[in-house]
This record gives sequence, structure tokens and C-alpha cells, in this order.
Amino acid sequence: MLPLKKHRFWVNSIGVFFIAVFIFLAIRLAGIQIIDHDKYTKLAKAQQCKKIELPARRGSILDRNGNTLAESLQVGSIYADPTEVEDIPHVAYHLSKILKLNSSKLIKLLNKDKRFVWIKRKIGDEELRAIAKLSLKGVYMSHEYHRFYPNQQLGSHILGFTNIDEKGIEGIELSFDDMLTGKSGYKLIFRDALQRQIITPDSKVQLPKHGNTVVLTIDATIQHIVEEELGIACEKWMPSSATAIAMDPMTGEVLGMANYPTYNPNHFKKYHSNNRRNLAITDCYEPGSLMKPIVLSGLLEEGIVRPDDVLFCNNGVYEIKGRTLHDTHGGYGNLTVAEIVSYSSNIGMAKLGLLMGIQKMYQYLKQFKFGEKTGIELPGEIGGIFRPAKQWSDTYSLVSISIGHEVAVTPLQFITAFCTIPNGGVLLKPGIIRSMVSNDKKIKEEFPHPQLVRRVMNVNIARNMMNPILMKVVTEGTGKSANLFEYDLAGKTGTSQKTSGEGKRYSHEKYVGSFIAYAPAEQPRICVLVMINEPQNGAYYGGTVAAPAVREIIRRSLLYLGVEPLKFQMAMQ
Amino acid sequence: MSSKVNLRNFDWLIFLILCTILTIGVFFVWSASSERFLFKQIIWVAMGFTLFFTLLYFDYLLFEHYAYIIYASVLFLLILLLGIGGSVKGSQRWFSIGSFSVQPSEFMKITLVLTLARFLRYKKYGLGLFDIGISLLLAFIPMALIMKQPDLGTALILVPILFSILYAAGIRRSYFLILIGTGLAISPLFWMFMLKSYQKLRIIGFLWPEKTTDWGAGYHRLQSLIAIGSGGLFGTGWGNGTQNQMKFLPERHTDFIFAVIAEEWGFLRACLVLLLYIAFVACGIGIARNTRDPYGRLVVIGLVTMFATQIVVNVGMTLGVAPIVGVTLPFISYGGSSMLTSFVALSIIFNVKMRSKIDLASRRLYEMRY
Repeated sequence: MLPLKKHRFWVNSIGVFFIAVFIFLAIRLAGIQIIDHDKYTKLAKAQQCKKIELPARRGSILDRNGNTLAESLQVGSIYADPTEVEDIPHVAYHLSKILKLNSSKLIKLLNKDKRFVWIKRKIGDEELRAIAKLSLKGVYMSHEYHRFYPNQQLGSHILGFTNIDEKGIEGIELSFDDMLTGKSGYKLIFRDALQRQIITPDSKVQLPKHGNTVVLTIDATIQHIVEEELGIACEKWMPSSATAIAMDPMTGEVLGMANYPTYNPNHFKKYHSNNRRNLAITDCYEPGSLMKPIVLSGLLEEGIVRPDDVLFCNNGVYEIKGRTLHDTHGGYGNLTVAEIVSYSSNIGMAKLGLLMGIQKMYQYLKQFKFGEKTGIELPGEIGGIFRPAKQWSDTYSLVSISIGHEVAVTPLQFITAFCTIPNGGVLLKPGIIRSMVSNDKKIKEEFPHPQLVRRVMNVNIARNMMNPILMKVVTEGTGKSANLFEYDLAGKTGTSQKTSGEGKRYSHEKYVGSFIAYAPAEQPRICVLVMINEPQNGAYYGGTVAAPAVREIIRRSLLYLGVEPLKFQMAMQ
Repeated sequence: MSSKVNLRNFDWLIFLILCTILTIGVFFVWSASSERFLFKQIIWVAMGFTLFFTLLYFDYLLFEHYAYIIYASVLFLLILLLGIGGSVKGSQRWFSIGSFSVQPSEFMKITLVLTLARFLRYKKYGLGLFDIGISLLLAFIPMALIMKQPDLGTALILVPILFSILYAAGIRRSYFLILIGTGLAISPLFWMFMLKSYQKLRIIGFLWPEKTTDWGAGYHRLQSLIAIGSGGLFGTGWGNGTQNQMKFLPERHTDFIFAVIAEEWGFLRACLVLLLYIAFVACGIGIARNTRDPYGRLVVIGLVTMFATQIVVNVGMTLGVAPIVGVTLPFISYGGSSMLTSFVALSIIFNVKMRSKIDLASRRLYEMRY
């Protein structure tokens, strides 16, 4: 046997070995807990803490009376953690009742050995609230917003639409995207290893800031009337496209704006991109005879002629510099200046144009902002074509412009210019936005109307000279089919040949038939323009294809607006 | 039948350390799991104490006397287990007797100590090659069986037990070094033939943590490091460890409970726990060096090695410096088998300490009685 001392040494050395290992572990522990503390804390946070976005609700778009044209609704999705559901039949009963699901299928679903099952996705607000009220254990909901256009295609070209992320792509949705889009908030949540959410007192919440509501000048009822009547006309004349605009001539507010073809913004993907163009501002046409009253007002303003001056109209055929003009509505002999417009004599108008001279004509028309954008709050507007006077040919351009050629306007541009006559001679900036209302119902920004651009003609000329002339168009002239029993209309027809293809030659097959009118003539409340592009079925005169639509839009709108019909006024007298 | 227990020799210091460790353990099992596990753990502790004091009544010479029989019986149980054992988590480690489950591999650790000590107690310094061979055989047969279950952790703990008993029994230092060298040399064979693929993955995950995406290896290690690291100097407070409470940490109340302690108590108090274990091991070593009886000394050395290895491997595992092999932290980790085994082992250490004044002459007399 060895001495005890030897044994003790061996035993001690084993002890020393273990203590050395323990010290090594302590050093390693210090390294992790003290030196790498920050690194591991960050890693812990990263896996435990998650920033959940709280989506902001996109603001609504309302018409002038507060009717909803576009709104974002919360769509909810219901899911469950079957392991947490305690009373399966009870939960299944309630869920099936609210969500109209098969209860036995739900029971089967909730009996699955899973931690996550969808119950139903994209459900309505009410169903969501009903389920939230029950606060069933193990049943959860997530939500997001979805854009809805409750009136389907109504006002689609004005409103535009949003993409799946609720980002505005066209129309008001695009031009007011910043204002409509809110600022999303967030919620910091803690998740455990099984991805279950743990609400801890230090979880932070930043509530979302919802978007502003945009109130339009559009009147949903008038918009509906405009779309309906335009639809009827298009069904009859099968045009390639058509546009109708209703405007309050006294304020420049757009009350209705419609195009054909149209689309439903709820399902915008189903339509060709051509259907989605707001032709009222993105396309321009030669106005043709619609231009005549504007040119005439210039002559009156300059004092060159008076309405009862008489001009010889060459019985329908007249040659200027090798160019032969025809009066399409039949040959006229002597016509007063007023009758030239009423009967839409091209020859008379050409002679009047020549009287005005290039400089005066250019300067006068320039005041109407032809060739410039109107500045309406809609995206994609073009300015049309109105060449500077330098580029005009000596007499030719004067003749062309007087009868509405060599100039191209968007429908909106033209109705804006035309409204100077019913409103007494001032050019107004057209508007489609009334106000912007923040989420807490406070008015954030107002867009007052009318917004004066400039006075372009004397009140007297507009009201006392032009108004009777335009009334006569409807009562006796080319716009007879717009004559109304209930109200006095004042308007002008227009029929322009379209230039075809590369040759820039005027086509004899393709026309734009248009009609513009306002009513009541003495106290104008509404001005309506209808342009029918390339009508078929044998007619193309504005008085035939567009005037009835204008008439009906005016009649129905004024009745809706509560304007007393003439018959009623007479009866009262 | 037994020699009188000398109560004056009862080691109050180890007992105090034990009670402190147990208290800390129970609280952290509670923090890492639920009341249900807390109550069960308290019951295991109570059963452990009962077993501890009951075994103190019997002289440890009894274990010495029946060492080979005990060894044979446990070995038989291990063989039986390979045939009929129930399957828990893909491993066959348990015997189910009624509602109890018995883990013979746990008993094997103590049995090996008792048997090796019995075999080597009177060997002369240097130990013959035959003695070394028999010792290796005694260790490797159960090791192979346990690894077959497969329970890598328990099997590996038998190696340090074997080495430290051989060392304390006076193996020639040259032989000792050759033994370690051979062990390292044959480890590739061991890798190829003995390990299951998931065990290999765990070792790969330990050696090259960034290279593995294996859930069991990389994930456990990383989550444990995150837990310990986010504890910092002072910890998040008991019951407030996010890694623990949010269940990111796997095996929180069993194998990785030290990570919970480090997270919630911080570095300073985690070091206190380590210090308690150092004191515990040091006291055990102290008992061994003061024991005149060679059998008693070897038994205590073997059992202290068993404790120390388990603590080092378990803590090393949570600190990412040891492979994740499923070794419990003595007296702290939740679990009946582990708790009872630890109490039995400690009881034997106490037994040796309280009876170690017996001189060799009277010892022979006792031996003759059995």
C-alpha cells in the first residue's frame, strides 16, 4: 500500500482539474453575459418583438351632397388556433351562424391538430364586429382595408381607382392620392416561440392617421342622369366614343362628367385601358360650329357688328381663295348676324371672321385659354391645339377658326369657355373639388367656387345679345330637337368632320356631332355639353345625335334641382 | 448489521450547499414550467431525502459486498430494455412499471462506480494490464448498451468515471496517457459505427454552429446563448426572462435550466450557482482525501466525478462549449430519475464520510460477516 499522502495528491489533482474547468466555464459565462450582452439582447428582441403595421384607412370620396362615391372598408379575416379553442361546438355554432358556414365542417376544422386554420377570409365589417363582440377563445381576426365603389361605374372616370395596395392609379384617386392616403401606425407585439402574440404592458402602439375625405362638386344624381342619357344616345348612335359634361355655369363647378365607353372601378382589370380614359380631358376635337357663338361674341365685343346687321350668304356656296365653303343646312340668302349663328351658316361665319382680322381674333380667343389646360384637379389633362397667330395663314386660318377648325379643344375646355355666355362674360376656372375634410370631420381645405380667371366679354353682350341668339338656335335653328316644353334652352349645335389619318384631309364618313346648351336661359343653372364621336346609323349632325341627350339631361337635372318649369310659372301668373 | 453512524461526522456544509441548490432549483423549475411541475419536483425532492436518509442507515460496505451482483442485475436490465423497452422521444431509455418509469442507465452510473471501486480497491500502484483491461470491459459493456438506447449523454459520463477511478487507484501515468491517446484515436470509429445521425448532427452543430441548420443542434445552442446573453450582469428578474417565458428556450426546465438561471438572475447570481457547485465538488474531494478506506475513497472519487462531469457538461452545453447530449444539472433540473440518482449518489458519499474512521482491521471483520 502506498502512503496516504500519495493518494491525497491524486485525489487533490482530480479536484484541481475540475475546479479549473469550472473557472473556465465562469469565464465563458462572463464573456456571453457581459461582453456579448448587447449582441444577444438584440438577437432576443429581433425574434421576440415584431412591428405590426396598423393600416390607415384611405379617405372617402363624396359627392357635393355627402353621398359616398368611393370608400375604404375594413375587410376582416377570421382564423383560429384549434389548440386554444375549448368549447368547439359552442364556437362552431356561433361562427357558423354569423359567417353562414356549415357548422359540422367547422367542427371538423377546429378539431384539426394544427395551430392555425382560416375560418373565413375577407368578411364584412358587421360580421367582424359581431365576432369581436363574442370574444371567442382561440378565434382571432386580422384586418386590412379594401377600396369599394358602391355605385359601380358611376363617375368612374372622375374617381379613377386604386391598386391592390390602395394606391391611386387614375382620376381623383391619383391626383389626391397624398391627401386620401393616411399615415399607417404600428403596434409592437411580442411573440413567443410558437408565434403566439403576447400583450405586455410595454408593447407600444402608434395609432394610424386615417386619410382625408375629398368632397367633389359632382352631384351623384346629375352624374347618374348624365351617364344614363349618354348611354341612351350611345346605344342609338353606336359611336366610337362620347363625352358628356354638366357644369354649373355660374360657379364653374363640374356637376357631372361621363364618357363612353366606361368601366366599373371595382373590377377595373376586366376592362381595356381605352375604357378607363377620361376623354373629357384627355382627348381633343375640333369644335366645329360650336365655335361660332364664341367668335361672334368677339365681333360684338369689338363692336364690329351688331346682332341685327345683315350679311349675304351666297345661297350656300361661296369661294374664298380657291376654297369652296358650303352651308350644310341649306342655302341662305340674306341673314342677320344672329341668324348666321342660329342657322349655323358657315359662309356667314367665314365672312364675319374675315371682318375681325387675325390679331383681334387671336387675342380674343386666347382669353378663353384655348390651347391651355384648364387646371382642373384631374390627372392627364391636355391643352388642345390653338396655334399662335404667327403660324396662321392670311385669310384661310380666319375662315377655318371661325367655323371651328384649325383649333382643337377638350370637351371640358370648351364647356368652360362656353359658360362665359350664360354667366355674363367671365371665364371661370373649372373645378371638381369642393373641400377636403380631415378624419375628425374638420374642414382641412376649401376650394371656393367660382374662381375667376378673367372677364372676357361685357355682361350686356353675353346676356342681352348672345343669349337671345342661342335661344333662337333651339327654338328655330339647328337645335330644334333640344326644344323643351318645361324650360327655355339656349345652345349651339356642332358637327365637325374629322381629319382622317395622315393626309390631314377632312373625312366624309367620320364626324363629331355635338351640342351644348344651358338652361333656364334667363337664369342659367346648368350647362351641358354632349359630344358624340363618330356616330353611326346614318346620322351625324349634332342637332340629331347630341341635342336630345342634352335636352333630357337638362330637363331631368333641373327638375331634380327644383327649378320651376315654365308651364308652372305661367299657370301661377 | 451495520456499523453505527457517527452523527458527528454528518457533513453539514455539503448538506447546507445541497439545500441551497435544491431551493434555487425548485424555484427555477417553477419559473421555467408551471405549478404542476413545481409540485412534482417537490415530491421528487421529498422522495430523494427519504431515500437519502434510508440509505444512510445501511453501511456502504453492503454496496461493496454486493457490487458485482448489483452490476450484473443493472446490466441485465439494460439488455432487457433493448428488447422490450418503451419508446420515449425516439429513444428506449425507460421501463414502465405502473405509472413509474425507471431509467436503468441512471443507475448504471452509480453501479459502475461501486463495481470499479470494488475491483480496484486493493490493487497495487501501477495496475497490471489485466486489471486495466477488466476495468475497461466493466465500463465499455454498459456504455455500448446505453449508447444503443441511444443515450449519448449518460454513456459519455461513464468515461470520466472510469478514468478518474483508474487515476485515483494508481494507474501508471504512462498507461494513463496511452489510454487517453487510444481513446482519441478510436473516436472516429466510434463516430462511424456507434452514433445515430441526429447525434452526429448535434456534434457538428457544436463544432461548427454556423454551418448547420439542424433544428436540434444550431437552434438549441443559439437560443440558449441568447437567453444567457440577454441576462447581462444582473438578469431580468425571476420569472421575467423573455427567452424562458416566451418559450424560445428549448428543454427549459430540464437540460437547459442553467440558461434560465443565467437569464433571469444575471451573471453575478449565476456565478453564485457555479460557486455552490464548486464548493459541492470541493467538499466531495475533501471527503475522498480524508477517507482511509481505499474502497470508500474510490467510490467517493467516482461519484464526485459523476457529479462534476454532469455539471460541467450541462453548463458547458448551455454556454455552447459542449455538445448538446442531454445531461441534466444535478439537483436542479426537473426529473425524477435524475433527482433520485443524485440523492442516492450523495447518500453514498455521506455514508463513506460518516463511516470512514473505521480502520482496516475492523473492516476485515465486517467483510467476513457478509
